[in-house]
Amino acid sequence: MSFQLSADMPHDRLFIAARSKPRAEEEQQQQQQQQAIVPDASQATGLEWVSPQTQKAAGTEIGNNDFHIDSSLGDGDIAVISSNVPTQITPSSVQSDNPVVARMLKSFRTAYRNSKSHNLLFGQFFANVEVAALGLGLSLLGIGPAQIARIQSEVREEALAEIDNKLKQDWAYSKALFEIVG
Amino acid sequence: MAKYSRKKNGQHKVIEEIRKQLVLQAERWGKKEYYTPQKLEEMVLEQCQAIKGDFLTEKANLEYEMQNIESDKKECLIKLEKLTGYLKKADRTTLIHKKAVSRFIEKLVGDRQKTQWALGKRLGQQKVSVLIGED
Repeated sequence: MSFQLSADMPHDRLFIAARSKPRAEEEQQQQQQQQAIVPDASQATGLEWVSPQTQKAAGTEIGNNDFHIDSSLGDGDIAVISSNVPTQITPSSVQSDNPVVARMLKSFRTAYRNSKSHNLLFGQFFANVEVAALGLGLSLLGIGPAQIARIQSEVREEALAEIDNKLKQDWAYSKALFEIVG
Repeated sequence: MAKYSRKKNGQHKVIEEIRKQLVLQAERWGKKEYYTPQKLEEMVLEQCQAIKGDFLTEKANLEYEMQNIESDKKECLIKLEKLTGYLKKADRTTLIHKKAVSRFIEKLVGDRQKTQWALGKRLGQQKVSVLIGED
């Protein structure tokens, strides 16, 4: 960086001008870095930083299940901590353009998942009946048994991953914390 | 005192119920005998160590706050004392779980000396033989 000193301009002004320029550039760079970092951080940690302005603009409200810290400073950020542990959701391999079939597939997945519930009445009676009925309906709509089996295996993998995650994150952590803190 | 213990018992029951339900669900999905007591104990041990790590980070932060930034030293000291107590408890709990895990492993192995002996008999001592020719 070079400066051309002229007799007309006082030295103080030159000094300020020289210092203010890189600062502005630095601020711009920092803003760009923040924009680049924030979405990655939310994915990694499960924490989502939401500024009040963007929240108002988007018209979103924090759900009842979400624990949120609202800073009363006005322009401060709001940390939204979701109580739901993010699990790996695999995209369904069996999809349909028909909205009726798509809805049925979705309810079939839910019912199949519920059929393995720990609640005996809920799991064995209601969900099994629903699974059978929906499976029959899907086969009538042209979805073959191989595709249904694929959906079932997908749901099984998802559910097992969630159970494992819950056991590790929720149960083991709360037990350890309970033993330590009391 | 009675009320506190009742509360603790309630919390313990809730945690146990969560475990039962999750293990039952895993069994319904076909993972029978996957979540053995040993595996669950290992999970808790892992989490104990993670919590201890969090406490240590917090302790380092507090010490830094005490040394470098002008802050309420008394409050920091109180927090540090509490944290030290929790750290000791975490150590104790980790040790208990480590012992429990090693007990499970001992059960699987059985008598260590006998197992060593049996392994030695089965595999045999490795011998090195060298053939020396006339040339």
